[in-house]
Amino acid sequence: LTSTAGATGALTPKILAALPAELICRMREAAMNADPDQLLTLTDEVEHYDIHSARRLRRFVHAFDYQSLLDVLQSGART
Amino acid sequence: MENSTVHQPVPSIMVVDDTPANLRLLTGMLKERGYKVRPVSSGKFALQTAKHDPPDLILLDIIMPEMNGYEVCECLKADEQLSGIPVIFISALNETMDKVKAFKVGGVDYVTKPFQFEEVQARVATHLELRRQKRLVQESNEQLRKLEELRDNLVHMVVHDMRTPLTAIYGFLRTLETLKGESLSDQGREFVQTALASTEDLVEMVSSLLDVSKMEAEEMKLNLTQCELLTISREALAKVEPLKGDRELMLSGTDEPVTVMADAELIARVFQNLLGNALKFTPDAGQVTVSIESSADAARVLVQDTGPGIPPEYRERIFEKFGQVENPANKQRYSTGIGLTFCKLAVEAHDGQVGVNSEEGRGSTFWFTLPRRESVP
Repeated sequence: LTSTAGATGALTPKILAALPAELICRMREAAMNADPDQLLTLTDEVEHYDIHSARRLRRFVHAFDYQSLLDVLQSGART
Repeated sequence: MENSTVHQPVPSIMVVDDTPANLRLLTGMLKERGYKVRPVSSGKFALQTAKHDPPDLILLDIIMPEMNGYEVCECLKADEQLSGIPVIFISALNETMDKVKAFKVGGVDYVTKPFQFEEVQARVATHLELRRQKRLVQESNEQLRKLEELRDNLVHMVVHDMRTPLTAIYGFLRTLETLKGESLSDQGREFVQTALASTEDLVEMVSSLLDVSKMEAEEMKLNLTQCELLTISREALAKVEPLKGDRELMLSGTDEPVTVMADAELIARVFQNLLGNALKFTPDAGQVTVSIESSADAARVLVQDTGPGIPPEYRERIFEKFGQVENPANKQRYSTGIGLTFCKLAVEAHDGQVGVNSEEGRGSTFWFTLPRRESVP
């Protein structure tokens, strides 16, 4: 199992705050539903805003680590 | 012609395993078979996402950090919203005790790793179909319950509105009877008597229906007093005496007074219903016997007849409202009406029990018990 904890630090709340709120909301919903296909589609959209964030978010998805993904999205939403 | 094909939604399967490689493998295979798959790598998150959107089935690994599969399953089964989701365990543990435990915590099936996908697929398909059928049955039951409620409301409304005109008819017939029908011919007086008896039956039916509605809604207030059951039974026997014809009506058993705390009027109507019922099904020259047994805890009343008896499959149904049963003697179907439902609810409102013992071709014994208590509960 590849740990994704290290990747969390690179996804700063500031970077995530640059993403549209509606996109974050859809990602959270997809994570809550444990829907990796939808999450991967949405990370493609993230790529339009920040290619590195998209890559890091994909790592969570590939590891099926939705909780970490939600935690990151939550921190982005708070800024 | 209208197309009757109903498209079923794609079943959603949650796969829970802490090894991403296993998740990928199962997810890919199940997706190929057309299922919507939700792979989850932890038990804790599985519960969270199941609550968010309950899946149709869960494939659950056992050995996982933080929360193992047994614990996850126990939590699912403890949750009313999630308890109906079938859980298939899929684990490398292959001892009998592991499998027994999986079923004990609520699993419906068990697949050991390494698995053959065909086996997983077959079990998944079977349990999804079972779940679908179970849902259909639940939906049908719910529809039936709603229809029953509608019927009861309708019956209640009609019966309630019938009571006032019926009381007027009854009152005028009584007046005619009291006046001895002086201006009537003998046949006219006979007609009045028959009309009065039938109206009394209708009034009794209306009262029973309204009381059953009240008792079902737990709105019936019991007027509890110390009642003596022998006296009530003698009065009830006297009341049904005109109906007995060539049948023999008897009171047997104890001569000692049997006192219980009960609503005398309701219990009297229970006696009358059971006696009326017994007479209805007892052929000429048959016997109907009432007996009362008493113990420290309860009084037990038995109404025994020498009628055709009741087949076992109908012995519970006869206590249901308007239950349909078949008379074994003439193979005719008829409705049991409301009388026995009234008896059941009235006795149960006193914390008593009611039932029937029967032998086909020999007769039936309807019985009820009333707890003996010193004061109003």
